[in-house]
Amino acid sequence: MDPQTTPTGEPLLSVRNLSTTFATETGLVQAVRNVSWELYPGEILGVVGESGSGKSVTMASIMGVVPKPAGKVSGDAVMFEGRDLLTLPPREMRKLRGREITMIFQDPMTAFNPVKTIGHQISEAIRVHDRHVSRKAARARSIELLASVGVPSPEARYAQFPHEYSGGMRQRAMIAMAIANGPKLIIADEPTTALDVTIQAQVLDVLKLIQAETGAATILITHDLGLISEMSDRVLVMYAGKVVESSDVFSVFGNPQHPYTLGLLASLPRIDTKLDSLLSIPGQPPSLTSPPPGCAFHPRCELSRGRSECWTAEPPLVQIAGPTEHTTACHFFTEMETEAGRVSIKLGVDVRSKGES
Amino acid sequence: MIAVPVLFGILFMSFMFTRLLPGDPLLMMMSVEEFSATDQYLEQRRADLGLDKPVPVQYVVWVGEVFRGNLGTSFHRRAPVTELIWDRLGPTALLTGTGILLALVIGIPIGVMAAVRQNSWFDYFSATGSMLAISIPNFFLGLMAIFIFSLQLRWLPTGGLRTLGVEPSFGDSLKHLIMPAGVLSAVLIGPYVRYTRQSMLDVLRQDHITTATAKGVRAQSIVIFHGLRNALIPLTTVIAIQIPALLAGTVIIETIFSWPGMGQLVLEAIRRRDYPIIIGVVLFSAILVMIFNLIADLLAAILDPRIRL
Amino acid sequence: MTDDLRPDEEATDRMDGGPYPGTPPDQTDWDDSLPIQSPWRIAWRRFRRHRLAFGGLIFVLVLVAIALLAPILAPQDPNVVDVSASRNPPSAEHLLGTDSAGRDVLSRLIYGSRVSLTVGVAAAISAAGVGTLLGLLAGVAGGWIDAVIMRLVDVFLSFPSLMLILLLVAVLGPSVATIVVVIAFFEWPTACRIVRQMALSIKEQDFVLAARATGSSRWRIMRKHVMPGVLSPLTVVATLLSAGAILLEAALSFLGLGVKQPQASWGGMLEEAQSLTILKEMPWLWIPPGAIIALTVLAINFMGDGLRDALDPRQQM
Repeated sequence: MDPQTTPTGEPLLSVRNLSTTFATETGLVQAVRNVSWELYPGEILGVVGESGSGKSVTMASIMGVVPKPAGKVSGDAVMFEGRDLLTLPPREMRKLRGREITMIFQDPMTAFNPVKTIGHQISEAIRVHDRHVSRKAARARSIELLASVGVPSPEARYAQFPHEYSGGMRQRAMIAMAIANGPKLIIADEPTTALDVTIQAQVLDVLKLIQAETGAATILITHDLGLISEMSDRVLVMYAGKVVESSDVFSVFGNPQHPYTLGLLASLPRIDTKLDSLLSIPGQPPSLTSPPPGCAFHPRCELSRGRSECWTAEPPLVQIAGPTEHTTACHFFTEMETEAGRVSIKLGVDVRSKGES
Repeated sequence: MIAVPVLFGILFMSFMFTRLLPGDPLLMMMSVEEFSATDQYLEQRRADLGLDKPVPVQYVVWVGEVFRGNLGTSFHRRAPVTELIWDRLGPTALLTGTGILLALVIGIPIGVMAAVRQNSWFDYFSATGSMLAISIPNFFLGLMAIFIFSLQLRWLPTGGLRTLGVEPSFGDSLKHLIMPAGVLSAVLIGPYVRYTRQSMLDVLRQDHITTATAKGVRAQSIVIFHGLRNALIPLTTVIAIQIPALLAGTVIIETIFSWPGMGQLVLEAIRRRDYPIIIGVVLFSAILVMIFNLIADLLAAILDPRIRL
Repeated sequence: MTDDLRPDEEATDRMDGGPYPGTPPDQTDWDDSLPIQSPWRIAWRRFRRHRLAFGGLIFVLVLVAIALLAPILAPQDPNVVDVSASRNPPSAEHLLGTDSAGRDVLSRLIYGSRVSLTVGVAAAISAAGVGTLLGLLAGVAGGWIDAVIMRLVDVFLSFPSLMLILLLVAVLGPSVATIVVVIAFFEWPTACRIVRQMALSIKEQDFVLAARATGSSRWRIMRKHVMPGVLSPLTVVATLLSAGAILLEAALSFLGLGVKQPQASWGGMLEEAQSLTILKEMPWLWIPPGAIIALTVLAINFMGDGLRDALDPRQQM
C-alpha cells in the first residue's frame, strides 16, 4: 500500500463547515462544530479522538442517519461526487446509502437484526437498491460475498442467524454487506473495538483486502492509535467536535503539531522500552453543551500555560508550511517541536515515531 | 415442562373448591338419572366415588372423573355440566375471538403510529385514550353503548345472538355481535396500544435499525419489516396474559347483552348456588388459559429464533 | 528544566482548571452551590411536573375529603326510602333526581365514595402486602421456595378472577371486609411478580454482593438493601391495584353480589340500569355513578403513571 503524502486530484468527499447539534433535556449538545476536511478516492482516512469528540456523529451526519428531530445538521456543503449531500432530497440520499456510501458498525451483534438470517440481511442490501434482482440471484451473490470475506461454508451460513456466528465472523459478514453494491466510500466506525485482539487482526486483514480489491475510499474511525498507524494513509484528529490536526500518517506520528495529538501519543503504553509511569492527559473531556471558551482543549493543555489567547480566541485550522499537507488548530503550534521534546524527556522515550507503519 | 405443576395446581384448587363449598359432594358428581335413585344406590355410588375414603384418594378419583369428561351435573338444570359448557362454548368463543381481533386490528396500528410519531399530539391523544379505555368500567361502557346505539339511534339490537323470528343471516348476526365484541375489545385496546408503542420504541432504538437505514431501506419498510416484526414478539405474551381477564369480562358483557355464552351461564349459576356448573366453568377456563399460554410460548419461539432450543 | 516538572503537584492543580494565574476554571467543574437532592425530592418534583398525574392526585384527595365529610355534604339521607318520589328527574330538591326507591341520587353518590375508596385502598394494601411478602421471599431466597411461589402465582393467574370472586363473595356473604379479603386473595400475584422481579435485579447488583462479602445475613440484606429498592415499583403497583379493586367492587355491586343494599355503592346504583326502561328513560340514575367510577379510576391511573415516571431510576436528571 503506497500512502500518498500529498493527495492529488479531486477529492471524493469534501466537507465544508459541517455542524451538528442535538436538542436534549440538559441543553443543546454541540457534537460537531464547523468541521471541514477532504477525502480522496481510494485512500484510507483514519479519524481518531476520544469518546465524545464527534467522530461518529460527523459520519452519521454525512450519511444522513442522525436521529431526528433531536439532531440538526447544518453546514456550507458536503460534496460527494459533485452533489451536495446536505441539500439532497431524502429519496436521493436513500439511494446513495448502502450503495455509494456504506457503513460498517462497531458491534456486529446488535447491528444485525437478531430475528433474520444473515444471508437475508445481505440480500436485502442488494435488493433494496435493485428491485430487478431476483431472490435467487441475490442469494447467490450474498453467498459469493460471504466467501470473499472468508466466512467458511457460506452456503450453510447464509441461513443462519446472527447469534449463531462468532464475533469475528459477524464483523466479516457486516463487511460483506457493506461491499455488496460496490461502494465508493466505506465508513468503518470502530470496526474492531468489540472484538478480541486475535480476531481484530483477522478482521483488519479482511478490511485491507477489501480496500485493495475494490479501491473504495475508507474512513476508519477509532480511538486506537495503533490501528491508525497500521492502516491509514491520512489521519484526522478530532477533539470536542472540531478537527484539531490533520495530515498524512507519517507526519502526524512523526511530527505532531497539536498538544492533544502529542498527549495521545504520550499516553500509549509501550513494549519497546520500560516506562516508569504512564502519562495521561489530565482533566476531563469537555462538556458538549457548554464547551470551554476559545480553544476547547485549553483546560487540559500543558503547552497553553494559561496564555490568554488560548481561552479567548478559537484557534483556526491552519496549514503548516512544509512539503506535506499538514493542518493544525493551535495558537502555538510553532512551539510544538520543543514541547514534543520536553514530553519525550519526561517519559524517557521519544514519543514521535520515525518509522514506517 | 412448567405446565405440568400448573395443571396440577389448577386441578387441586378446583378440587378444593368442590370440597369446601357447602353441599353434598355426591350430588355434584352424579348424573341426571341418578337423582331419583334409591338411598341404597346412592350409598353405593358414594363408595364408588371414594367419598368415604381419605381426601387424597377422593382427589385422584375426582381427577379421573374430570378426564373422563364428567364435571358433574347441574343442580338446577338437570343436565351434565360438560354438555352445558359445550353448548355455551361457541358463542363465548365467537365473542372473545372477535373482541381480541378487533383490539389487535385497532390497537397495533395506533401503537405503531404513536411510537413513530413519539411525543406528537397523536401520541398523547392515543395514550390518554387508552388510559380512558381501561378506566371505564366495562359494564358502564356496555350500558352506554346500548343507550346510544340501540335506544337512541336505533341502529343496533339490544342483545341476543340474533333476531328471533327472522331468517338467520350474516348481517343480522353481525349486528348483534358488534356491540358486545366492541365493548369487550375496548378494555383490551388500551394495553395493546401501550405495549405495542413501548415495544416499538425499544426496537426502533436498537442498532440494527440504524444499520437498515444505512443500507438504504425505505422508512416505511423499516417500520414494518424491521420494527414491527421484532416488536410483535413480546406482544404474544401480553395477549396471552390478558386472556383470563377477558374470560372474566365475558361474565358481565354476556349478561348485559343477553349473550348465551359461558359467562352468562356461570353468573346464573352463582346466583343460584349451582356449584357444579361454576366449578366446571372455572376449571375449564383455567385449562384453556394454560393452553393459550403454551400457544403463545410456541408462537414466540417461532417468531424469535433466539428462543428456540 | 526538570525542576518545573513536579508531576504530583501539577496533577492536583490541574483538577480545578489550570495552575497558572489567569486561567479561568473549567466549565465542567461541579457547582457546589446546589444543594444535594434526595431521590424522594427529585421524584416529587418530577411528579408535580406531570400535569395529569398531579391532577389525578388532587382529584383523589378531593374525593377522600368528600368521603370523610359525607354526612355534612350530602343534602339528604341516602337511605331514606320514599316510594312516592320514586324515579323523579333532577329537581331543586333532588339535584340528581331519585332512584326507584325514591332515594336521593346525589346523596347516594356522595356516600358511595366511602365504599369505593375503602375497598380500593384496603384491597390494594392487602394484596400489595401479601404480594410483597411472598415476592421478597421468592426473590431473595431463591431455589425451591422461589419455584413453588412462582408456580402458585401461575396457578392463581390462570383462573378468571371475577368468576371466583363472585362465587366466594356469594358464599361467604357480601360485607365490605369479605370483599376486601376476596379481592386481595386474587390480586396478590401481580404484586408478587413485580416485587420478585425487582428483588432479583437488586440482588444481582454490586452493593448487595459487597454486603454479603462483609458478612451481612440474608435477612439484613433484605431489610436494608432490597426493601428500599422495592418500594418504588411497589408504590406504583399498589396504586394501580387500587384502581382495579375499585372496578372489581363496582362490578360486584352491579351484579347484585357486592355491598348489600341499602348501603350506597356506585356499582350498586348502576344495577337498576339493567332494565331497558330505566336505561332509556332515566339517564340521571346511572350516568353519574358510572361517570364518577370512570373518573376516579382514571385519576388513580394517571397518578400511577406519574409515579412510575417520577420514580424511574433510569431517568437521571
